[in-house]
Amino acid sequence: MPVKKEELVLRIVREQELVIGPLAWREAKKVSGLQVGEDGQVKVSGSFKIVLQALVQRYEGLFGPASVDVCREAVKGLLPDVPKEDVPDVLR
Amino acid sequence: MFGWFKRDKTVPQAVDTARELYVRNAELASRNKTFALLQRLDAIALASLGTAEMAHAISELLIKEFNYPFAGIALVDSRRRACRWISISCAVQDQSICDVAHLKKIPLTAGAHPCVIAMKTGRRVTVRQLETLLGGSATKAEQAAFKKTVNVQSCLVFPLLSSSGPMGVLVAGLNRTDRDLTKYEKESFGALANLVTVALEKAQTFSSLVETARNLKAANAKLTKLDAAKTEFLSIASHQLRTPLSIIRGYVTMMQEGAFGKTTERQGEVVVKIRSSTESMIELVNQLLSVSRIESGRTTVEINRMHVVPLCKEVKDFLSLRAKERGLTLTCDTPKMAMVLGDTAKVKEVITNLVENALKYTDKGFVRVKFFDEPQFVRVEVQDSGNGLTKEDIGKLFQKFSRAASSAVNGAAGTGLGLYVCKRLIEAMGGEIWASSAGRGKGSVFAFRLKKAPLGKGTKTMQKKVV
Repeated sequence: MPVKKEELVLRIVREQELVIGPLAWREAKKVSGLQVGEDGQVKVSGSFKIVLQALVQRYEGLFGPASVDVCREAVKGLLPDVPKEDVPDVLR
Repeated sequence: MFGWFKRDKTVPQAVDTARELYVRNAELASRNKTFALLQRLDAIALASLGTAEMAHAISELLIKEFNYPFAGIALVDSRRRACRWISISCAVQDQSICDVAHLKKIPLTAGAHPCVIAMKTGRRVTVRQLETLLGGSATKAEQAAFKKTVNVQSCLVFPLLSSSGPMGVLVAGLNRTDRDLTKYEKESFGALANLVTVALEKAQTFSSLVETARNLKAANAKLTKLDAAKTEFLSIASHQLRTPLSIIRGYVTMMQEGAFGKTTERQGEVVVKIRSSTESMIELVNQLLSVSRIESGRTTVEINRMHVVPLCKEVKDFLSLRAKERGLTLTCDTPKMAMVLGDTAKVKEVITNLVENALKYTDKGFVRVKFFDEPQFVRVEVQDSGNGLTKEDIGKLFQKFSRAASSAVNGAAGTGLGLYVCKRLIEAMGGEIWASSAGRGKGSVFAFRLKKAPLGKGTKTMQKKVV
């Protein structure tokens, strides 16, 4: 069943929110090309794959490799339903 | 210089601490998620009572939470012969395969079926081919279309093990292989299967209770109908019997009095036996009539202010001949007593019944009627020096068709209805009735109490009640 790729962004931010709280949203909003709202609205300008990678790296820069694992776990169930070209290698 | 040194050393330390805290928080977050999921499952279990409804809600929850293409639950049937699909939910709506009504049962003898294997081994089973799981239930074309539409890569079959044995399976269809499970999924599965088992067990118990209640209600309605028919039959039959019996008794009495000529001694003995048997039958018919009237709600009591002592004296006068014939002393106290609330005719019927019983079950000695003044009641006791009663006898004496074991001792005839009628009448008049005895051969006391009437004049009916 196809999944909207924006769902990947939301899953990641919501999963990070469970770990670090509202900071997850604030950091996501700092990612270039990404607009996110806590109401579930996501807007990506430019390459989705690059923006998604930047989001993962944003958390990684702050909290290290463990945060990448959290991102991977968050989207694992969605990846089979998303086109491969939209998924950065770091999430595979 | 020193400030720069401090900052340089502190920042990496803070980063390390933050990252360490992150790792711990991530673990806690994962557990929190599992708890939250179980809590939602618990809420489903509390909100729904029907098995199918609950199974459907659980399947839907799994689909939404884990992004599964499909999830289903199959339960072992009550005969424990097969497993039946109760619910299959799909992420893609309107899949014909989700219509559990047309899915075939899985016989428990099908040892190679993944559901049967999971239940027998008590372990999770992974199925790569959907056909293996639903084989026989859907056509190949249906299965191929389903697999393609919903993207099922593998299925996990979890056994649902209750305390009484395997109760079914929970199936999760994955869009990936079972090697790609998340930590959250791995942590949740064990507790999930347990909680689902408890929830479904509760739902099944409720369903079986509902069914039992429905069956009992139907049986009760049938019994009520039968009971009404029986009461009606008793009433009609008794009426039809009483008239000819009364005629027989009349003629027999006339024969005894010599209205049809003198009888020989032998004939006289036979006539006495006929009269005695006829009277027993009339008593039986009268009591059957009383019971049928009471049970069909046709007996009423009119509660008045009344004197109970003169009534007892009347009964004593009426039965003194019978007492004399049996060689017994029948006495009745005549103290001054307060008026009571009761129906004169019904109270007399009760006293007559109690005294007749006492005479019937006493071979020698006495039968006496005594009165006791209590603060709010007048108590009447019929005491005898007869067979006595055991504790077991006393417990069932006032039930319908119940007779004391000791009543068989002197072979006295009885219907087991008299005391039942007495109890119903006395209770309808707001009183109480009971029996006591020191034991077999030590006589017995049958007593009842009625409320004292409020002070006043006249005997106007104060209340009318159906017995």
